[in-house]
Amino acid sequence: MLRIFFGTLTLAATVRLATPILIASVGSCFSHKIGTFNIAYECFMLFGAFFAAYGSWLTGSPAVGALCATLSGVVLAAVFGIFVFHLNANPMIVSIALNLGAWAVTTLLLTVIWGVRGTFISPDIISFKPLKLPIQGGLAYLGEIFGNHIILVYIAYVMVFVAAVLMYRTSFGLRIRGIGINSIAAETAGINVLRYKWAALIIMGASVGFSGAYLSLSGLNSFSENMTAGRGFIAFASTLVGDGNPLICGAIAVIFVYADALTLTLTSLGYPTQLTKMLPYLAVLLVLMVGGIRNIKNQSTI
Amino acid sequence: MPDRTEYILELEGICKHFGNLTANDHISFKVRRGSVHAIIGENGAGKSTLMSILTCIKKQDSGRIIMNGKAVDFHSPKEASESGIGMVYQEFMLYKGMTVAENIIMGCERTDAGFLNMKKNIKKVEEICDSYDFRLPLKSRIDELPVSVLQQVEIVKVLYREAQLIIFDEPTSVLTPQGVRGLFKAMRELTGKGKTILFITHKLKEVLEIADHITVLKDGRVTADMKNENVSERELAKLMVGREVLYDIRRKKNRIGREVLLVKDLTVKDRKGILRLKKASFSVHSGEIVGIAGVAGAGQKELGEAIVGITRPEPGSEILLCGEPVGHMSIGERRKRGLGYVPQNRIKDGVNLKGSIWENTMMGYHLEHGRKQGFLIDFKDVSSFARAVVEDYSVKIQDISDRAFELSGGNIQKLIVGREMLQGKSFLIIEDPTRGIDVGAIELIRKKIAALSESGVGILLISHELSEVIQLSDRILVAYDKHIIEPEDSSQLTEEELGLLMTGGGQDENKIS
Repeated sequence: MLRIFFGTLTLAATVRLATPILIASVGSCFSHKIGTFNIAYECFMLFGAFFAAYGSWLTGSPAVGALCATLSGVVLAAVFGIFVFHLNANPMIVSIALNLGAWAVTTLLLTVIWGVRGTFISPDIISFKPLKLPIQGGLAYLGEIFGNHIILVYIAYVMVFVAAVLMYRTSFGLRIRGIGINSIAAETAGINVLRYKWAALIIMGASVGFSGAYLSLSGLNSFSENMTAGRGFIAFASTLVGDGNPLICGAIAVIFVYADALTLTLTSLGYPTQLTKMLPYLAVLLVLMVGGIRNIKNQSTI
Repeated sequence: MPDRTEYILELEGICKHFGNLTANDHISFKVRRGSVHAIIGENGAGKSTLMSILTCIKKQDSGRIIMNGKAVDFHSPKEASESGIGMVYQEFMLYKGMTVAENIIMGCERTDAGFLNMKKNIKKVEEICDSYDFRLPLKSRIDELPVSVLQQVEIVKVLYREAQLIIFDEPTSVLTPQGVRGLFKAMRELTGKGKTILFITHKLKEVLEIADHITVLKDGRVTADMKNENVSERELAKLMVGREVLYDIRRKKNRIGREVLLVKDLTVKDRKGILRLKKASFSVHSGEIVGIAGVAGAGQKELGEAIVGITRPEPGSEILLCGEPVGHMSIGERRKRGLGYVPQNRIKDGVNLKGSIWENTMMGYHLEHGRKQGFLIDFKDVSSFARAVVEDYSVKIQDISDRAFELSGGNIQKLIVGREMLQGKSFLIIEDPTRGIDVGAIELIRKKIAALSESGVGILLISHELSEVIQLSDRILVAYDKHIIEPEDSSQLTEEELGLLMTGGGQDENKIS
């Protein structure tokens, strides 16, 4: 039992698989805190995955691929921002349109550029190479969990702390949080609210787009239709549950992914998939319940 | 300040229009440096508009603002704030969940290469607190603090931005008497240190106590501009609220019947937990119009809401409709027992703007009428009711399928009043029935109210229009500072006397039940 829950297989998978969720969730903390409603995670992530594959395929460099992914996220965020901030469109509708459109457009691009349907696998899509961290000796257990991952994995965990510092130790973060709580007050305090909303949205777009790069450049050398498969929504859930605090959001993301990784391990050990597939969802429900109880206790009256 | 002109602020001919409404009509006055300058006026007199022009939230149509002897032209609230104008808002501009220190520095943080240096920030805030004698728990979250402390946070926030001219917008309306004393002490402290204060209010006692100079606004114009010397509350009240009675609707004394409303020890807190009404007790009989006069925020709004059932009163309060306790009932149940309600905010609470006329007249009416088999709309009944309302109250429409947003304010008001009055209710709460509507509609509605009471309906009239209350009411209650008081011989009171009572002056309060 211990082997299943704390075995290197499960934990290493958790560390690895948490990457895209962490990057997306932590980056969108800013747009969440500032009060922009945006659930176009799937869209940004799917386009990120596509352009990461495309950039890497064109240049042979996974770094360029990741850059393309980030840029695509920024462009899509800008589209969202123009619609929502300037044309006063309903953010829910724009999000849904982007999410559904992303599936269609990336599938179309798949056929147009590579002439395939479903999945494009090619050795020309160069993935990131795993880094061998020199963790040895008595720490071999940790080494197996944390040692053998691609650079994106480490970037994800660093991002959590960078985001936390940005959010709670800079005037940028203070203003973002202030605007989210009372944008009129922020306006009267002389803060350019729209500029900060744009900044937060661009951070979100860039991060979620970048997170897509993990999907196609983590060793599969491929892009497939609807590759994100709900990961965007898991990231969205993490951000919501953590209420935009990068550290908590990161922790929640890891809990979700841990349940996912557990599924993989249990299935490989022969447990019925019908049961194990429930785990991630149970984890979400459990986290929501714990969070809900906390909220009931903290109901303040001001 | 480099140049110390005698006047820190001079306004010259400020005008501001909203459509046909003139909010500010050539407003000119000067504010002496280091003084407390009070600006008084009724709601809608143009005070708030003037202040939002000063803080550059709105832009004047014409006129000049002169600060420290130089004409200024602000383009953003930030510029206004940088030039030394700070505002303590009535609705506090605070960030829940953040600490006091964070609230104060927001927007003007001191940073080291983008990183917040909280120690430096807190030290600066502490310096300000020390020099003006404020004691603030800088590291507490603002959620835990009482209102009077929140107001101090707002003041320190303005001082932190190095404001020279501090505008207080109705600062005492949220405070307890002790809080008011503290605030006045702080104001004196501020002017003693060279700051100038613009004090917006309609509480005359406070004006006389604290102000050096008084400017009275009425209907967008400056009607008086004087030093606070040898001025009496009576004179101020007359300047502020006194006006000619426009239409004299003769009312004969109705036969007073049974008690339709009895309120006992009604105590109401608002959503923020602030006490708004304390142990109000009174009754309304059939055939009687009981008027409630009071400045905004004196508790009359909460009184109406509690009787209708929009807010839950505190335990111990009793509300009886026609002798039956209704405190625990929903709004619908109360309506079924004979309650009608004309809300103050007709657009927000009175109508569905996107709905048609008949849909609007049906609201509330549907509880007992206009249905077939309990759930289908009886179009015949509903449209005949709608036509009755439209005809009786001369609502100008083409057809009852018109949308409500096509109507003017006066017509919407007639529609709502008609809807509530034609349902054969035994008790009506009517709030500000004639606010902001044209002369013809005012006359019609007042006549209808008088006629309705003649037919034996009990009416509670809550209005900010003093002349209306005096004209229509058999008895007048005064809402002042969370209390509902009944002056002696209330039907004989003049506007001036009533104005005094509303602002806490006049009659000895001990006499009042």
